[in-house]
Amino acid sequence: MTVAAITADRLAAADAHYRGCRLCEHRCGVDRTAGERGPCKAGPVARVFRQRVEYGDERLIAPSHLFYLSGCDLRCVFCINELNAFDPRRGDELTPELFRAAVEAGRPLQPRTLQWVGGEPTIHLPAVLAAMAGCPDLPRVVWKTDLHGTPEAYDLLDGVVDLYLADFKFGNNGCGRRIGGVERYTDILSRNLRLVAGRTDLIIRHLLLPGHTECCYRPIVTWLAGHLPTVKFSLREGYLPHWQANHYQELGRPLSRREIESARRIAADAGLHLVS
Amino acid sequence: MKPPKTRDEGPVSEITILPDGRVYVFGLTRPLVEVLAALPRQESGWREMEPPAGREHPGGVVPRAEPPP
Repeated sequence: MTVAAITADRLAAADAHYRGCRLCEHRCGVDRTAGERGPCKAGPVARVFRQRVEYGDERLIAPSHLFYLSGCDLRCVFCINELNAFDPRRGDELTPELFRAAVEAGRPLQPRTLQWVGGEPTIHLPAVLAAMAGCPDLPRVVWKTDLHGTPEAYDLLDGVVDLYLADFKFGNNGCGRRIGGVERYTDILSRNLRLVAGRTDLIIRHLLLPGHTECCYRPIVTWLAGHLPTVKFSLREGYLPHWQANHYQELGRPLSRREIESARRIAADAGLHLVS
Repeated sequence: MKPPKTRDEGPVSEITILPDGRVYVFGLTRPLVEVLAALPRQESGWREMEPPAGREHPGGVVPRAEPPP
């Protein structure tokens, strides 16, 4: 990432979304500065509910200094961050001063990357750009995202994001609607994955869900093998029921060892480039 | 509208140990890495991790950690 990429024009273009928001594919167009709220419920203030250096990410990016922003455009019923993800009022206001101080405090741990996570950071893109604009000496910037944003949003991140860490959660629109809370999930993801893959480094993550190997995981693997065969693919096997998962029969349990082994075989048979 | 009162989420991590012995960690911070690396090592399901910067941690292997989805 280059701070020079965060120009005054870019900041102004990003800020304009607060008055007619088109940052995610809900395209609600609300004026967040006037108290209007879209599906994510976010206003013009981004809030950090957690920030720290963590070691649990893929080797390519760990250790990473994570900044967790509250508020999300999806409504995954199994979200591990629960209300912190969905209530954008939670946490401390993201200001350039808070960000700079946190970055400096994390430097002794020598994070390899700086990572924006949520919730969903794309809905807070203007505040994130403003925070980073005053920090010239940042590690590689990772955007951990549901990739449900608009092309306009990704244009604003060009030259700023060094690596997209993108979730590919569901393999069909029906599961996207039922347990992710959004329409046209796979249509949007397939477009956006091709878009960002051509721009910068990309790791695609899939959180294996119990009972969703055939309807979601296998179609995802098939699509990746056909469209992005060399992309780095991170299979996450650590699903545990959180938030409202127990209301959904198949989601109210951990993964079985058999499901995990089957998923690894499917990825290997498809020739995907697995990273860990 | 005033933000709700919440606890400080900064230091919160979550370790889950399943009945079959699988260990899952949400929020693998440096202190946790050192604690978990001291646990008896298993042969499968554990991955090699680079030690926290500047220090070797005991054992050299830690459980596979699962960041938030």
